[in-house]
Amino acid sequence: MKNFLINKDFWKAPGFILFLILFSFFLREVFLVAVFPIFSGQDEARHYNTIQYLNEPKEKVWEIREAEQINEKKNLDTYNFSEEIINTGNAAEIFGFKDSLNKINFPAGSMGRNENLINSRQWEAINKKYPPDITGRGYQDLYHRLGAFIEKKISNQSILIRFYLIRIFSVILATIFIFLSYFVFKNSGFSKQHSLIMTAIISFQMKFSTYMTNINYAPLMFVSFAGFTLGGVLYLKNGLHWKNISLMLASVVIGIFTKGSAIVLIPVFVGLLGFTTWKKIKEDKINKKNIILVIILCIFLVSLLCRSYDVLSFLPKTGGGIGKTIESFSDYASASLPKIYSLSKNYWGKIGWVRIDYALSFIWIIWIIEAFALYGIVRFLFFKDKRPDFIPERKYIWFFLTLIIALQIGIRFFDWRIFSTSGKLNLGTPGRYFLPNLPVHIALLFSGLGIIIKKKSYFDYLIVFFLILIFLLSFHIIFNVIVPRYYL
Amino acid sequence: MFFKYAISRKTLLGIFTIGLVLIFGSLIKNFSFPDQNWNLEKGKKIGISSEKNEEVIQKFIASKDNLSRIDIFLGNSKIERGGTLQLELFNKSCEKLLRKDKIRTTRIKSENFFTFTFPKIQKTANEILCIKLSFYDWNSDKNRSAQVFVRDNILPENVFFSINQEIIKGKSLSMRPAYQENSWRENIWKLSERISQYKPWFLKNMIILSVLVIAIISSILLVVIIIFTIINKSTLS
Repeated sequence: MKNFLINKDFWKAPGFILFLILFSFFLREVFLVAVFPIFSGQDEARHYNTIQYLNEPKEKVWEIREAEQINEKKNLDTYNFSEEIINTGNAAEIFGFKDSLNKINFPAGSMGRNENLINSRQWEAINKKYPPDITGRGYQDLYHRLGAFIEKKISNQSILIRFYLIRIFSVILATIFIFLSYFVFKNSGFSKQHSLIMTAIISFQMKFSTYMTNINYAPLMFVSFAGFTLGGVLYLKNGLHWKNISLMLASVVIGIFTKGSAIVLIPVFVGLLGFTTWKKIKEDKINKKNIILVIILCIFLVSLLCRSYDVLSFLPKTGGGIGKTIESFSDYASASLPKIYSLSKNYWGKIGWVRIDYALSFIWIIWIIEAFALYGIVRFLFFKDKRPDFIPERKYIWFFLTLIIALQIGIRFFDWRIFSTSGKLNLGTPGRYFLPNLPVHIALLFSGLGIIIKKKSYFDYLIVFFLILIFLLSFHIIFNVIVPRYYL
Repeated sequence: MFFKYAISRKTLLGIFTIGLVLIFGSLIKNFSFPDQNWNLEKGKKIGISSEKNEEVIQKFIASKDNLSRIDIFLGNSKIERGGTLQLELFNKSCEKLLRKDKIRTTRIKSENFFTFTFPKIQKTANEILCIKLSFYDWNSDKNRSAQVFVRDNILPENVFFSINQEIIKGKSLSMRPAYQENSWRENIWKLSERISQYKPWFLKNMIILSVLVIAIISSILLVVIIIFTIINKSTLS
């Protein structure tokens, strides 16, 4: 350690740069955690209510009333949340904060108008209105159980402390996601320097940054996706090894017990195992013991899939027949394809508040870069262009593409299902749904560009230029969009 | 030769620095605290242009010193190629010009407010100020109008409002003045106080300010280090 610090070039060391990426990300996120008012995140009050619900005694010894069904819930009182959440939200003036045109009437000083009332803890953290508004299926509550553990440990503290500490827990999970992403890049064949830059790019991706400040099961699911991706890369690199398999298996289990989207990891896992095993059988490079192990693993995964989900319920309700299915898909495609533009803007960080934001025209630059990258990937995979040595081998590119396609199919299938029953895009496909594959997306982006560019020195400039672009976009959104929207 | 020079460490640092200057410059320009007695609300829309007979005059009482910004709420306007919105700020009698700001825009979509900024006017507390708002179509032959919202406003701060020289009582522009503090230190402290409200103790005041400062420094340092470690001093080989 002493030698590391007295070495005047320590600032160039990959370890130090990685530390700086994680450190600066964590602090930026903590700042954003403070900037976003309480319950302002996506479904955040519902996720927090789930945490509180999990901490309630099993025997409900208080009066419970059946709340009337209200379709359009306009204010917090119409939700079936705990008494504490409803009263805190109202006291903290969250509906004033939700007005994107105006600000709340801030009093002087650093205490909110009703902050002492909130801190006096007059309200109970229990649900009295049933059925309670909570998220997820019964077993998909791993994130919420972890949040409930934190909540229980500090249950004697004000809701402001409990709530914001759980938000910081989400930030810690996001930091782990970034850390794992670095190893995905490094082990798939990128150099340490390029891996660090791509990791930094992820840390500045604005949609990811804002999403990770919320109380939401997404951060834990992202960790499961990153863990699975890393396990898959290590498997492709080193072959069948209990460490790689354990990592992928643990990631799948964490994902399944967190959010439904993780279901797509199972067919990818089975496919990866099956395909690589088949190849080795053909080359006569695998022993019988390993084949049996792979078969047992695949059976376990498929049974996990079937036990976790009613798989048939994911299929769209098209009324039967190929003709009706094609018609239903065609209707769905007509409705959803025009949304790709706004989906992509949302994915890269555009926030839909009422300002004309010319700086977001930079997203057009990203799209142009993506188009070139796609061309490069196609040339590499189908026209067998020579691989520059700073780009991953084809097997990793195929694995990354498989993950992208799997998540796209999974989410769009579910979206199509809801569309087929309601006739509307009730779920939609907001950009954040595709963020679990952010490291894979970035890896493919730069692989494609590297294949076109071919020369490492040019690639170095391009990747650093992209980092600068993403950095500037993120700082612009934080300081010229988010902070002014709530406070200036 | 130009291409080799154009893509170098210096160029990347230059782009990075210019980007940071623009971002923080924009933040500094808009760094003021709105008077929430003047909410931006929808109301009836009226068209404003550079024609004398479409002049809008609004007089209001500023609540604080250091007026530096006025937000104006506009509605969807068909301005095709675009135009320039101009706000002029006068003294009480609408004769002495104090400040002026222009915004060039290619579109005015629904529910957008435009922010007019100017060097702060120090002594404005309880002073009556006069706003004249106009719109100049870039296609001077067409002379299209920008649609601005007019709202109900019975506040005593709403002194006078007229459209085309017709005085309208009880109404005002849908506008919002904003003020700075006396110094930049006070500005930053006031922002930290606002962010601190309804937050736990570990996200208040000096703690959150320190987090912010260290976050900015470490993020900038990260990019600079990456530029220096990845990009060789010599230009492309």
